Amino acid sequence: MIGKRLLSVVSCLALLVLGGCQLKDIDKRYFVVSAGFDYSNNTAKPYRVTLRLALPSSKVEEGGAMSVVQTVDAPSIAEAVRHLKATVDKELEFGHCREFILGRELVEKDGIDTSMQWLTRRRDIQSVSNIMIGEPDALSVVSLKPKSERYPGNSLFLSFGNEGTESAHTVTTYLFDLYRRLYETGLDPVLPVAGVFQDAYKIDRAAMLNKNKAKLYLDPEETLIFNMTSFGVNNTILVMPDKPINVVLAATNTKAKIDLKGGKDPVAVVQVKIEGFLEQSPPFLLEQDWGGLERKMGEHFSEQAERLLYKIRDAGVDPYGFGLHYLADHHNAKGSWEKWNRLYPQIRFEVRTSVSIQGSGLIR
Amino acid sequence: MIRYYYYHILYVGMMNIMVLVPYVLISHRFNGAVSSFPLAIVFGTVYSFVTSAVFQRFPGLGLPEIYKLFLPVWLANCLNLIGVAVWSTAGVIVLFSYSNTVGIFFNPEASSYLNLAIMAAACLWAATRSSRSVQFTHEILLIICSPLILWILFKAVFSSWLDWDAIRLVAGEGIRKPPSMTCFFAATFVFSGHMNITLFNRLNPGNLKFRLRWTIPIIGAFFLLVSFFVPIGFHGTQAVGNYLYVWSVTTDSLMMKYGFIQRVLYLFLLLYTFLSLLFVMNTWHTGMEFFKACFKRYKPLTDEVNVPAINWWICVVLAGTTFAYAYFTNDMINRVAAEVWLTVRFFIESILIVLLLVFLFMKKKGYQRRPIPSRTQTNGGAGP
Repeated sequence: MIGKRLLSVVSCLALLVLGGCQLKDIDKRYFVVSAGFDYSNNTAKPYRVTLRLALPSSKVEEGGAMSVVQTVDAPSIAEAVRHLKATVDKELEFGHCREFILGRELVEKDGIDTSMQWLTRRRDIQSVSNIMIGEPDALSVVSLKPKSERYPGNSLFLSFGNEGTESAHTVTTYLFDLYRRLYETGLDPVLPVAGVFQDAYKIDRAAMLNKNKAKLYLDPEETLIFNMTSFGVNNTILVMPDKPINVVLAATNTKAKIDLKGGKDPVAVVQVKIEGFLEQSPPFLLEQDWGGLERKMGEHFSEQAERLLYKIRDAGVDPYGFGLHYLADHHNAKGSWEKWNRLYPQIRFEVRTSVSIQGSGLIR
Repeated sequence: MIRYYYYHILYVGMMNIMVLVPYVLISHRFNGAVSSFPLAIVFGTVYSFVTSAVFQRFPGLGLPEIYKLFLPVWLANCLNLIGVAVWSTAGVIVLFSYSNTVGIFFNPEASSYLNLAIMAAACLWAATRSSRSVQFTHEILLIICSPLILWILFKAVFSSWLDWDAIRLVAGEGIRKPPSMTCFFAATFVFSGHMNITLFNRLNPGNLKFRLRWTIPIIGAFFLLVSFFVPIGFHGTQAVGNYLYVWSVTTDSLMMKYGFIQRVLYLFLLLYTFLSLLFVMNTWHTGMEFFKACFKRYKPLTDEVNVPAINWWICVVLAGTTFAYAYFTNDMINRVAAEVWLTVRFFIESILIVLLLVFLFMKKKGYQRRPIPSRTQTNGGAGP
């Protein structure tokens, strides 16, 4: 009886050991921390894949991050990654890679579709990876090794979202969001543009894509307005030119809502609510006319935002999702998508901004 | 005691993701998925009310014992065997899809039979226990994982990345289309937790009142709508149709920034390991008991301390079937099999509902073949 019990216990314990089978140890893996895809202008091997591989180190300190960069050209991304394995001694592990950089030339000449097919098909790539356009190419962004990194690759992903810096100029695009925008009717992809600037990354612009290829690049000021009106990003600024210095509102809270009003000749209404404190202002300006300043700042912002909206509309892209909103309003009835495609190039925009200033800071 | 009934309702509601219900619904999202929801809610609620009302009038009796009261032995055995087939195949399909999903996301390098073996061993152990143990295991596992699963679901519902325009579009367009039958069958699964009462009614005391039954449509509708609309909100109306493991990818789109691990996916899959274990345990145990009920000498015991060897043999056969199924099928065939199972299940359920109403009528008229057996031991099995 005891022998039988013992046997069953031992066989159950043996099952636990099975979990270790066919598994590679962590010290036999290379952790990819960022990956870049470029266009090589070689028709036989058009894709240039660059991977930054972290070298595990026992100490964690600023500037102590060690990594190597490997690059290879191949007819497709999948083949390139397989080929890259021949140049390294450990198994490549993409589970921790959250930065994918598409070279500007690739996005303009070949489009994002082929890269997206590979990225979404791979099971180990996180859906919350950050995708961006690398300028001038992905290679230069991937091979930069900033001095401030505590461990390899963390500098780049801290730039996005609100994990590290909360920059209002940085558009955050996750993989699942980009994939949704790639297929959705009436909602177009938008990507941040990352460049290299004095041993650091500079991610202050955005590219608007017509599904596959880049159509429009926004400058940093426009990116800021886009971020506020489209994503409702917090911790932004609102500037109004004034003498002797500009009035700057540090917006702590921004909310944006899109709506389509009117039946036959719809107007796209964007309602923006901004709350914040004055960060820079001529003395005594706020107490002279509190409500008036709020209104003036709102009008100024609406004007800027409308200019941006018309610019985006004329480029033929729809990153705000007005088209999707229109279809949802009309229950995707037959012919409404064609009707929207006729409407959109002539649509009028109206931005209604309500600014609420909560104070002038510590001084009057 | 009534809580055990609602545990089944709750866990089957959450379990629909592993039985590929969202996959079926989402693949029909533009042709009749949404309009089948109201029908499914009505049918699911009515069925739950009927089963609970009927079984309340047969306290302490499982479905095989009720068959024995009214039907000739050969017919009762046939019906029992149909029950065995429906319940056991559910466990087989879920076990396979679970090991497949885990093989893809957790441990891609290992053989998929390895995942299956580990999970099947656990299910084998759990399902062979006595009914009382199974019920307690069910309670413990459900209490551990349901708060976290609800947390993930609510995190997804309140996420700022959820696109309400896409949800409005699918809902607005879908409700205007005629309902799709496949979607209707799939959607009623969310409500079919009440079917577990067919066996576990043996454990219910005579004075059990089914209170709070109005919560059933609310719980069911909540899980149905969440498991259909949240993936659409995250992946858009078009791209959502491209994903095979739609809920795994949806939870992967969430982030726990300050969590122990950032990918919600791993937490989600771990929780669904528990739920799958629960589901397979319940289905195999039910199938096993129904099979044993076909024998003449069988007594419906619920509290055995030492389970009979036949339990092991039946469950080993079921585990073996799962391996054979895994060997001969692949993911695509499994999806078709799951769809077929969802359809067949609905018909069997409907037939059972009619039968139960007939039994209730026969009981009132006194057309019983045999007397109601006296309650078997309920002292926890501690006595001789």
